Amino acid sequence: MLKKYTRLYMKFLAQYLKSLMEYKADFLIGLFGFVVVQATGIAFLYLVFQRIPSLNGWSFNEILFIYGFAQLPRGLDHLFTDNLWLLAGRIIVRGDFDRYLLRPINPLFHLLAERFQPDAFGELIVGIALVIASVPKINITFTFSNILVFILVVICGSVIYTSIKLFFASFAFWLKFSQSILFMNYMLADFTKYPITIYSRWIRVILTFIIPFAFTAFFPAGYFVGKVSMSVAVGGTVLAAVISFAVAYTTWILGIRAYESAGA
Amino acid sequence: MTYIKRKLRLYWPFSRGVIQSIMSYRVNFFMFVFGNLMRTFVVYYLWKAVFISSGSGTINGFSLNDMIIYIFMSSLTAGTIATGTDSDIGHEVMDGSIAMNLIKPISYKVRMLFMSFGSLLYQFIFILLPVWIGLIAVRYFTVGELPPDAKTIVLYLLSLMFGFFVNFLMNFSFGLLAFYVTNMWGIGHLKDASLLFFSGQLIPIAFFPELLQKIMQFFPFSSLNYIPVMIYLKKLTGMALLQALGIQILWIVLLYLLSLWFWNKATNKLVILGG
Repeated sequence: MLKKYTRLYMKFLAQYLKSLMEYKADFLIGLFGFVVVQATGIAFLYLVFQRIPSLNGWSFNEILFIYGFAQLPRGLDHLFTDNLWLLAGRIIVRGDFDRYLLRPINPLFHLLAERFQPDAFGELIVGIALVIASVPKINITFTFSNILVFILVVICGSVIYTSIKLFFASFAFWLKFSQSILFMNYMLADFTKYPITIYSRWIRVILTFIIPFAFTAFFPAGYFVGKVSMSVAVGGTVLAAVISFAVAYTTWILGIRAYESAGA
Repeated sequence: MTYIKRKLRLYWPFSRGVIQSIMSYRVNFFMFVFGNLMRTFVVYYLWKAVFISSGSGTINGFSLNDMIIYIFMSSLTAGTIATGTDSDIGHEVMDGSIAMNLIKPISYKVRMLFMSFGSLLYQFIFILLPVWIGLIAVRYFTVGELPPDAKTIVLYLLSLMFGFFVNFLMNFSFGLLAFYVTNMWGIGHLKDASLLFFSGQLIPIAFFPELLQKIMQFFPFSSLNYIPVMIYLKKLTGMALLQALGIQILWIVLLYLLSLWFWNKATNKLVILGG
């Protein structure tokens, strides 16, 4: 089963890479675009920190670490599940969803495997660079078990991203078009690039318990800096990932059940 | 006069068409607007934390109150003068409909301008006005701050109009890139990110390092939302204000010439492809 899906994914990826080779310049533009987006954010932080020694108790390097960490789950999710944006924006409106139901594979797998978004390397490269650059300057000791925890929380963080996207994209089964709802909620992730302690209470509550983006960056990254306890950072992140995926996947299943083809 | 009237009658339907299409998708439109507003709130909270952490009342001549107004007005102004010209041209090039639009007996450029007028009008009435009133009310009831005087508002609106033309001309030239590049989404992303930073929506241009400020003088970014908002905040007065408006006008002229040149070049290329 797993073998079959891995093989299938490789086939999809190979097809995709062929088209990528056709449009090399486009790939580079997209990659560069995402690097610039992140670079402006860092330039902003750098300019701000010219004026202040620390922000709400966080040093420049600690903030860079959170900022960089935030890009990792975001980039991973972006790399593999970009087709959810198209599901929300046009696949259902145009009546193209039917074919996902006709193949003998899991429709969600099929949908996700169909698109691979290398623009995401822009986020991943910046994220990795920031984490590598900031770690030596802050008090983090990376032991073997810490590295395992790091990998675990990054993966859980991507699952949270994917779940939030899947949840809102699934609204399209009822609304036909849900890209605007998805966009609105995806933008909430912007809040988590910085310590959430700077926000007002209700924003923190939303980011922690309702749309749990705080678990994709602030809580896990805060743990490595020593500002968040292990149980909240790791336990909370894993729990948030499991719950959000369960909710999102249920919504997706209900959506497919309610789906009526928009085609002629 | 009759000439202008005739032109207006000819092109006004394009403005109306844009307004109607936004109206029919208004729920989605406002959700996108709200999504963008989210980013403004992030920047707002960041600045608030920065002022608290810095311990001093003013940074670079900006008090926290200035900064709050600056952040919201920048984002509002940028949202009001925004036009979809680049993506409109991009789509027409992609699906080929630009060919049909070029042979119609109307000017493609003027048509694009009037479509942008439509979005300007809509965004002015349904984004700028209500949010501005909300901002004024919140500021009045929380810190007792009064809105600026009528003269400042008129000058702000004049500068906003100039900013609109600068933005339109930039987007127009930008859209023509679709003749050369297929990943317009990626390149649009690049453009949006650069604009967000260099037009001073995250951090006032006055906070940039000196060298960067000097370099920025050779780019039109400050003519978009920065100058209008600095006028609104009364940080530009007297000669500095006239100079700033002059810079905006200069950019309109320069970008107009640039877009004409680019238009001729790009459409020539199209003829070759279609031939």
